Amino acid sequence: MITKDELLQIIYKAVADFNSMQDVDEQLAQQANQVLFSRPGFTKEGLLDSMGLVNFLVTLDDWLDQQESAQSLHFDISDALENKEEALLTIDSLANYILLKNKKV
Amino acid sequence: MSIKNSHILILSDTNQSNFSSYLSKYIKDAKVVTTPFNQLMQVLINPTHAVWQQHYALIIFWANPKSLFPDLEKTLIGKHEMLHVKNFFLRLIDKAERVLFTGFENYPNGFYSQFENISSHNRYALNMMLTSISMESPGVVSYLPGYYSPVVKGLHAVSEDLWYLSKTAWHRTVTDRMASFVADMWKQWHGLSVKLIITDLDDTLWGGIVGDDGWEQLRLGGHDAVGESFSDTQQQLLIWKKRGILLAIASKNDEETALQAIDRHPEMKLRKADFSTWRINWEDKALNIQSIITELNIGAQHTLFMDDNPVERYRVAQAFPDMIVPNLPANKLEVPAFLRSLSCIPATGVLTNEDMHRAELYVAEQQRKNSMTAFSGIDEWIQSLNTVVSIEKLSHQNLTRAAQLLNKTNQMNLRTRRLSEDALWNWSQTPGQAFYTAHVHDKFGDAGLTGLIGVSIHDDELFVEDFVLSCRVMGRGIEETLMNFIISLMTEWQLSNVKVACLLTPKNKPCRDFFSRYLLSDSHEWVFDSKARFVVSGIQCNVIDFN
Repeated sequence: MITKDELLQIIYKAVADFNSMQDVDEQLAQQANQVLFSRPGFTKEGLLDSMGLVNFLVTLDDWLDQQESAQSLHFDISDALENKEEALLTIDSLANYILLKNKKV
Repeated sequence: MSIKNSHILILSDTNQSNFSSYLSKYIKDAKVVTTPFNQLMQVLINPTHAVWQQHYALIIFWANPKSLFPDLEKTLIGKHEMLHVKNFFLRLIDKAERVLFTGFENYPNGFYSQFENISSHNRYALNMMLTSISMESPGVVSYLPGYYSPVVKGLHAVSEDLWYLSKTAWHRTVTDRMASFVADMWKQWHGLSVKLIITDLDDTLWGGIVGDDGWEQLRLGGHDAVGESFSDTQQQLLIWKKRGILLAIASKNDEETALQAIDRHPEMKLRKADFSTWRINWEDKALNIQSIITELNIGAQHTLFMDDNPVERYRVAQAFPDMIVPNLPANKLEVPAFLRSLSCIPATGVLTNEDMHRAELYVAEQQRKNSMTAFSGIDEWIQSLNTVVSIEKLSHQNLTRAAQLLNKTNQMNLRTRRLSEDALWNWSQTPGQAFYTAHVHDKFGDAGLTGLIGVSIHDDELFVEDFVLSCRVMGRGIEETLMNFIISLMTEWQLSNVKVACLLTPKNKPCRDFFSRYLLSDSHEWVFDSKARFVVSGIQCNVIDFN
C-alpha cells in the first residue's frame, strides 16, 4: 500500500504538470497546506474555481495512472467533487481522502 | 481594426472554457468570448443575439456539425443541403475579420455516444465545402483540415471525466496545443511571426565540426541516416527562405573554412547566396546576433535562433528574451520534423511579391548602405541612388500588399491604423477619402510597394489618416517626397491646409521624429499650408493616378 508521503509526492508532480498550463497568478504550491477549494465561511481562499478543480483532478488522475506505486489506487473524481468540503480543502486533505477511500475498498 | 482590445469568439457545442483560458493566456491583446454551453444553434440562428453586437477580430468554429444538422448522420448530404450549410457558414464571414474552421473529423472511437460519427461521405463533402470557402475568401477564412493529427498526435486527447463532469470535449493538453497553434496564426496575421532565422553551422546545418574534420568529412546527404536528416533540415530552411524569411549564420568557426564548406560541399542545399548575412568568428554569439539583427533591422521578437548547443541557446535566450530559441531535439533524426512542426513560422496565407523576394531586397539594401560610405553627406548619397517613387491610387492589384504593409508597419506609421483588405478597400472608396500607394525603385533594385498614404477631407482641410513607410526605405528622402505629394493633393483639391496628427505608440517614434524635425516642435499635431515644402533632391516622383 502506498504511503501518504509517496502519494503526496505524486500529487506534487500533478501540481507541477497542472501549473505548467496555468497563469502565473493561478499556480498551486507544492505544499500539503495548499488550499484548493474555498468552503463558505472558511477563512483561507482556494485558488481553483469549479472548472479548475475538475482540471486539476483529471491531471492528478492521469498521474496516478502513470505511477506504478499508485496504479492500484481507486480515485473517483466525481465522488471527490461531491465530497469536496472533506476531500478538496487542501492537498493534505486530498491525500487523506484518497487513502481513506482505498482503505475502505 | 486595432489588435489591442479586439475580440475573439469561439463557436462551439461543448464547454470551451479551457480553450478560452489558454487563448487568453497566449493572445493577451484580445478578449475571448465563447458561446454558452449548448447554445450554439440558438446563437447562430438569432441575428439579434447579444453575441452579434460585437464585430470580431476572429471567429473560431470548433464544433461537431451534427449539433447544427442532426440529419448528417443518417443520409448522404445532397447539393441543396450542402448549399444550406455553406450559406450558414458564409454568414460568419460578415461578422469577423477572420474566421477559422477546425475542419470536420470523426471523434475518436467510442467517444461520447451523443456525438456519433457522421458518415465518411458527409465528412468529406463538408471538408471540401470548407476548402472551397477558404479558397473563395483567402486571408479571411482559414481551414485546418485534419486538425486532430497535428494537434492531438501523441497526446491523451480526451477524458471521459472531463466530459461527464464539465462537458469539456478535449483534454487540457489538446486545448492548450490548439490555443498555441491559433496564437501562432494570430501572430502571422498581425505581422508578428518569424521574419529571420539565424542558424549555427556545426551539428546544426551539417554533422561534424568543419574546423576539425574538414568539409569533405561532414555528414550531409548521401546514404547516411544522420546526413540525410541534416540535408532535410537545410531543405526546410530553403522552403522558408522561399516564403520570404531571411536566413543568417551565427557560428563560432573560422570564416574562410566555413564558407568553403558551404560553397564546395556537393550535398549542401543552402549556398552563400541564400544567407542575407553571417557572423562567423569566435566572438560571443549574442553579440554577433545583435549585430545581425541591427544590420537587417529586424526585431528580436521576429527572429528565431537555432543551435544544437544548449549552452549557446541558453546564452542567446537570456540575452534576447523575446527571441524564439527552440530546444532542438538531441536526436538529429528528429530535427526536420521538429522544424516542420514550428507554427511560429508562416505556413499558409497570402504571400505578396515582396514576401517572396524579401531576401533579395535586403541584399540590395546592404549594397545601398555600403555605397553610403563613399559619400560625404546623406544628401549626396540620396541623389546618387537615382530613386524613383511611383504613386498611384489603391487598386485591386495592389490591395493585398497595401493591407499587409498597413497592418505590419510599426515604426514609420502615423496612426497605426489596422484594416483588413475589405475594410481598407471600402474606406478608400468612400467619397472624400483616398488611399495611395508608393512604389520605390533605385539603381540597386526594386524595393517594391513600400509607402502608403490615406487622406480624408474635413471642411477645408486635408487630414492625413495614414502615413506609412516600410523601414526598408526609411531615411532615403521618401518621407519628404510623400509629404510633398500630399501638399500637392491639397493644392489640386483646392483645400487650405494639411493636418498631420500623430497617434503615439511605443514603436512609432521615428514617425513623430520625422515631423518634429521639420517643424522643430515636440508636438503631436502639425498643420501645413500650400507654401510648405519638404526639402529633398534627386528623387523622381511619378504620380500615375492622381484622382
